[in-house]
This record gives sequence, structure tokens and C-alpha cells, in this order.
Amino acid sequence: MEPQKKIRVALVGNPNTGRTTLLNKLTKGKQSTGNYPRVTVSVQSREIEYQGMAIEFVDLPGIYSLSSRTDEELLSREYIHNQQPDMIVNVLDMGNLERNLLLTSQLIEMGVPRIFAFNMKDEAKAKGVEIDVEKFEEILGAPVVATNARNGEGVIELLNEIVACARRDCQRNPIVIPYDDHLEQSIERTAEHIEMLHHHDISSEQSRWLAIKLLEGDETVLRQERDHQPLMVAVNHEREVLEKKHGETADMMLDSGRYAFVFGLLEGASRLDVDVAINRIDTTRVLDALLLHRWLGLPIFLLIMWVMFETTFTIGAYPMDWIDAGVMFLSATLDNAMSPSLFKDLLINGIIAGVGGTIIFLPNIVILFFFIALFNDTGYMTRGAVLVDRIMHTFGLHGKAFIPMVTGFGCNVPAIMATRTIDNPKDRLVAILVNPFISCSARLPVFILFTGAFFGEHAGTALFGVYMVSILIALVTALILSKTVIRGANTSPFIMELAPYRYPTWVSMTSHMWNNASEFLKKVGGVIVAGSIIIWFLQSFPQQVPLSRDFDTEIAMIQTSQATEAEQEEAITKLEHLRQLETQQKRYLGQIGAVIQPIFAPMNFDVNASIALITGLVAKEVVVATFGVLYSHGEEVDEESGGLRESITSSMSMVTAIAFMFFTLIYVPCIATIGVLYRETKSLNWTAFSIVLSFSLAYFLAASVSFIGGLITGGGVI
Amino acid sequence: MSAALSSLTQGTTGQIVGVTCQGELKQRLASLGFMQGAKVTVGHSTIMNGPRTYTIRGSQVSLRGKEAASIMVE
Ligand SMILES: Nc1nc2c(ncn2[C@@H]2O[C@H](COP(=O)(O)OP(=O)(O)O)[C@@H](O)[C@H]2O)c(=O)[nH]1
Ligand SMILES: [Mg+2]
Repeated sequence: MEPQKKIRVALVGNPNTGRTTLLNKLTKGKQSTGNYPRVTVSVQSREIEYQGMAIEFVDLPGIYSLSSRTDEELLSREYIHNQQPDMIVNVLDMGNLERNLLLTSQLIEMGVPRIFAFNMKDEAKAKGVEIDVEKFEEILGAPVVATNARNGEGVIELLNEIVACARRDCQRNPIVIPYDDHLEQSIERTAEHIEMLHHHDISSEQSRWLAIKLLEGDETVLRQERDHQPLMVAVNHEREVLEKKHGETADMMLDSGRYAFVFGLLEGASRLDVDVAINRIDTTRVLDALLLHRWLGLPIFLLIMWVMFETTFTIGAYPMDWIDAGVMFLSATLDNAMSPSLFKDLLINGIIAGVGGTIIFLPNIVILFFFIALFNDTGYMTRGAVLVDRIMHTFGLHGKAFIPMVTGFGCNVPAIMATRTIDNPKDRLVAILVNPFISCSARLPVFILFTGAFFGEHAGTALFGVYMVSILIALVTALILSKTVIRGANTSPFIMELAPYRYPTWVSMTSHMWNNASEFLKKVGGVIVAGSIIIWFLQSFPQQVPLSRDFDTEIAMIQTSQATEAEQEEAITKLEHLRQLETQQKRYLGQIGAVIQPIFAPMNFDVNASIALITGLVAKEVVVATFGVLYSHGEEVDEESGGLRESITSSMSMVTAIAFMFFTLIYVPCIATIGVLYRETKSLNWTAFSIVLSFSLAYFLAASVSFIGGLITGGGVI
Repeated sequence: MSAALSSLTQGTTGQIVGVTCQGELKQRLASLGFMQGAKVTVGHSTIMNGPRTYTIRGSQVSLRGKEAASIMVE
């Protein structure tokens, strides 16, 4: 056995070329993949052992070029330059080599040891693209492997090439991309200058690369070399002369040269089978003709969104009932099996009530994430961004902010991170600040509970309405922000590649759903259990409270009185009710509620609703758990009033319920969202701003709903 | 005779003769293939003069009218 050697391999390529899918196949693991450009924002890596060699694969963000303009490009280039991976695997979409090879030509210039994976072999074949692998290898100066990352074709060959390349120490085949004569002379002069500065202790390839980057006006390299005054002067001079002579900037001349190289390469090494190309049915084209249709596109989009929420509600209702029945059964069994004790009370009225009340929403959440994953993986998400860009733009948002918005329906935390795809910092700030208004799946249980309780068979549509309101609030807030505190936003261009539609892969979809389901279950196991116990404790202690009247004696007196049995029973029930009420008021939770409830007086929220809102600050799922615990103690729990829905409908009016939904929708996001908001804005001020903004807006809108609703139902207006 | 890409009607194809915007935007358009000499076909358009889609070097890219106006074709 030879000694273990570890090599690091970076996957580099255009967005949507299948890097993440390839990584999954190479490492046989699971990882979220997405079919919209730039889903990989952070760098992920995974390690395997193959033929006695440890190989670490790094999935770099998808980039179109190495010109260090966007975050992704900077990140990728810095990684290649500073971390010096032993090898890069340049992943290309074989069906779209022309565009993909531009990046390749830049990688070649960088001179890193490389292997080429021509991925999407199947799609290329369907398009009629035929390539001559040997010719490509010759011209690109490195091994080329055709792969299909979906079914794993070519993956073993790729691994073998990687190992072979690592064993023979991957000689760097210097390939020079030739440019226009004048440009070449400038490059040569600049490279010589650089070599002199480095006392000729630099490879000719590297000095050429530096020279090219300097002439290109690459900000990072310019900053790096700015101390060498004479070099800077010389470079500026070269660039000016070039521009004057050719009427074209040096960076454009360089890109032209690269494209010319690509053209030559394709001319010599690939062929288009015209028969196949002409006779094929382009699914993407057919679908886009409908989905991007000038007039139908937007209505279809809205319809799809409506179907998503309707399905979330209706399909989700079945498993929800099963879970509900299971929880009830568990509760009843324990109730029969255990003798009365404080622990039994904690278990049944605290933990099971709280957790059971929340966990029944797992199916809804899984369904919602299913749709989000489906939109991502099929490529419809980017179409959505195109369709709504005009509207978003009117409201001061970038079309790309649409993707974080839809992601926000799932969870605001990854959604706020997804705003990184927006290049302009101001545009991005607006998108971050409005994202918490997008109703995340943690708020879903509240809405499902409330719409189900108050809107009967129209609950699905009501739910859709809630989401529309949520979007509207986000849009209007964005408009106001971009016109006031964040002026200068909304100027960056909208440039977005629309990947072809693709079938979502099973692995990607299930892993996406599973990740989010397990996140939810973790929350239920952690914060929800803890919250339920705390609420139960506050509601059950102090166990004995001094009461204003001696209820026991009064009840005893009634029992011995002359009244009829029915009258007696009625009087006793009334007294029991009063006792329960007073006990609750004097326990800790009642005391806290008495302090905070006046805050919510304008919205007519009762003590229970006020407490639920406060507990929801930790995580919005806790709102429902709190109701679960509170009402499991409730005085009216008898056979007829099983279920949380009935308790809710009997405790508040429709108007109050709508006001409550408004409040829940808008007020301060959960702690995790506040955390990520701070991390992404790196500003305490903006974080505080977001908290104050959401709380005051929630208060204002909920109070308005309550007021206007009161006018309407109170007969004041109509 | 050249015209702005934004003025072309759906389904027409043109060859890029120049890109008039500057700096970063120009660079980004170039990295997607919008460069002198490239052929571009107008795809779909959205209502209220929203972004349109274009086929460029084998892929579909969406641009707003403002960006498309800086790409000259013939
Ligand atoms: N037909 C086909 N689709 C592929 C292939 N490789 C990846 N895909 C799909 O292409 C899409 C983008 O893949 P992803 O790995 O997310 O690309 P990335 O952006 O480069 O990481 C996904 O829908 C994949 O399922 C392939 O070889 N053939
Ligand atoms: Mg990826």
C-alpha cells in the first residue's frame, strides 16, 4: 500500500451545469440541488476515499466568468488562487458548450491543473451535439470525460481520471490562448515588466495571467499590485492606447479573443447533427410558449400559486386528521392509565397538548416545501422572477428578490441568505428587510388553525388570501423603503439566465423535503416542548391561590338548598366557572397576561391570545402550541368541544381573528430570523429597525382591522 | 443599419454590432455572450414592458428593456 495522500478537487462551472448533482454522484451522498442559477452561494465540500486516495470535493458557486465582479466570481477565484486546490474539475453543459467554454478559456489561462467533465451528455445527444473527445483533450490540454450526473454515467471514469492525474502529478499543459496582435504585444510587454519585478522568479504562465488581468482592469489584481507605481502607469498607458486604436476596451478585446478561441475549438472538435436538431421537440420551448406567454403567463403563475396553497390545505388535511386522532388516542390512553398527579397533568395538558397541537401541521409544511422544491428543480422559479419583475420593479424590488420571497414561504432564514444573489447592496437590503413579512411555514399552523376555524370550506382560498396580503405588505413596505430610507435602490440591472426545464430528481426533492421536515421536528422536540412546559408551569402555579370567596362552602350550601336539581346544577356550574377563572387570573400566567393584555386592548385580544403572541417571539409555531396548552386547561373542555378550532371560535369573533392573523403575520420575526438578519446586514441599526418596523406595522394594521371590522359588524357603517 | 435590441420584435434574429453600456454591466453581458458578432433571437416578452427573453449562444437569458436598449444589432 502506498501512503495515504489527500487531494482537494474543486468543481467549477457555469450555474446549472450539474455540479451539485455531480458532487452527489461522486460522493454518493445527499445535498440540496436547485435548478436556478446560483443556488450554491456558500462553498460546500465532501470527502471520499477512492483507490486508497482521500479526495475532498469542493462545490464552488456557479459563475460565468472569472472577472471578479460578483460575489460568486470573487469567491471562486479567490478559492482557486489562495486555497490552491490540487485540481479543478471544470463542469460544462455539453449541450451549451459555446457559452460554457468562455469560463474554460479563462481557467486555462489561470493555469490550474484541470479535468473537464462534459456533463448533460444525454441532453447534448438529444440536441444533436456530437463531440470529438480526443480533439478537445488535445486543444484544452487536459482529460475530457463525458458524464451524465443524473444517472451516474461517466462518473467512475471521472474518478479514475482524477486519481490518475493526481498520481502522475498532473503536469500543467500550458495552453496559450492567442489574441489580436496589438493586444498580444501589450500582454508581452506587461508580462515582461512583471517578470522583472519578480526577479524572474515567476512562471511565464503566471506572469501572462497577471498581465492579462491587469489589462482587463481586474480590480482585485490591480489592488494587489498598486504599490508598483511604474507597472501601474505602464498598464494604464497600454489600455489607453489599445482603446484608442481599436475603439474597444481591453477587457472586451480579451473576451472577443476568448470567444474566437472557443469558436475555433468548436469548429474543429464538435458537430451538430442537423437531422436530430431539426426533428427534436424542444420541451422548454413548448412550455415557455405557454408559461411565459405575454398575457397568460401571469394568470397561470397566480393559478399555480393558488393551487399550491389550496393543496397545502386540502391534501394536508388528511394526514393531519390521522395525526390528530393519534394524539387524541395517546392522550386518552394516558388519561385512563395514570392516576391523577401533577406529572400526569404536565404530560397530558402540557407536553402532549403543546406538541400535539403543533406536530399535526407537519404534513402542511412538507407539502409546501414540496412545491418550493418543485419550482426550484424544474426551473419554473426563474420564470416566476421574469414574470413578476415588472411588478416588483414598480415596488422598488429587484425581480431576483422573487426567489427569496418564495423561499420565504418556507422559512425566512434561508430566504434572507438567498438575497445574496442580488448584486446591488441597496437592492439587497430592501429585499432583506421585507422578507420577514413573507409568511413562513412556521406561521402556517396559525393560519391553518384560524382559517379552518373561521372560513370553513373556503379555508384554502382564505389561506391564499393570507399569503397575498403577506406579499402585498412586503411590496408596499419595499416601495416605501426605497423611496425614503434606502434611496438609490432599484437601479441594478435584471440579467437572468433561464435554464431549460428539467425533471426534478427524486434525491433532490426528497432531501429538500426531509431536511425541512426534520428541522421542524427538531423545533418541536426542542423549543416547542420547552415552551409547552413553561406555559404549563406558569398556568399551573402557584397551585393554591387565595380566592376572594369560599367556593367550596357556597357549592355545599347550594347542594343542600331547596332548589330543583336543574337549578342546583346550573348554579354550581356557574360557580365552578368563576372559580376556574379567578384561579387562572391569580396564577403566574394570569398575572403576566393581566400586565400585557392591555397592550393588545385595541385589537380585542383576550389574555390567551396576548400570551400566545408573546410566546411566539421565540418561534411562531409556539403560538399554536400555547393555544393548545391554554385550552387544554380550559374550563369548557367537555365532549362537544374537542379540538382547538372550537375553543378558538368560541373565544373570539371573526374580526378579532382576522386582526390576530394580521398581527401574527407581521410582528417581529422569530429569533432565528433576527439572527440571520443581523448576520447578513452586519448592522445592529438595520436589525433594530426591522424589529421596530414589524412590531409597529403589526400593531397598526391589526388595530385598523379591528376598528374597521368593528364598524362594519357593529352596524355603524352598513 | 443598426437598431437597439429592445426595438426588435418577437421572433426576429439579429447580429450584435456593439454594446454601448460601460464597465461592469458590459462585462456581465459579455460573460453571458452578448458581444459583438454574436447572434441573438428575441423570445418572449412580458406585459407592461417587463423583461424579455433572448436566445444567445445556445442559452435563454432575460433582460429588461433598459439593458437591451444598450445592445445594438443589425
Ligand atoms: N439531463 C440531465 N440533467 C442533469 C444532469 N446533471 C444535472 N442535471 C440537472 O440539472 C439541474 C441543475 O443541476 P445542479 O446540480 O443543481 O447544478 P449546479 O447549479 O451546477 O450545481 C438539476 O435539475 C439536475 O437534476 C445531466 O447530466 N443530465
Ligand atoms: Mg449547485
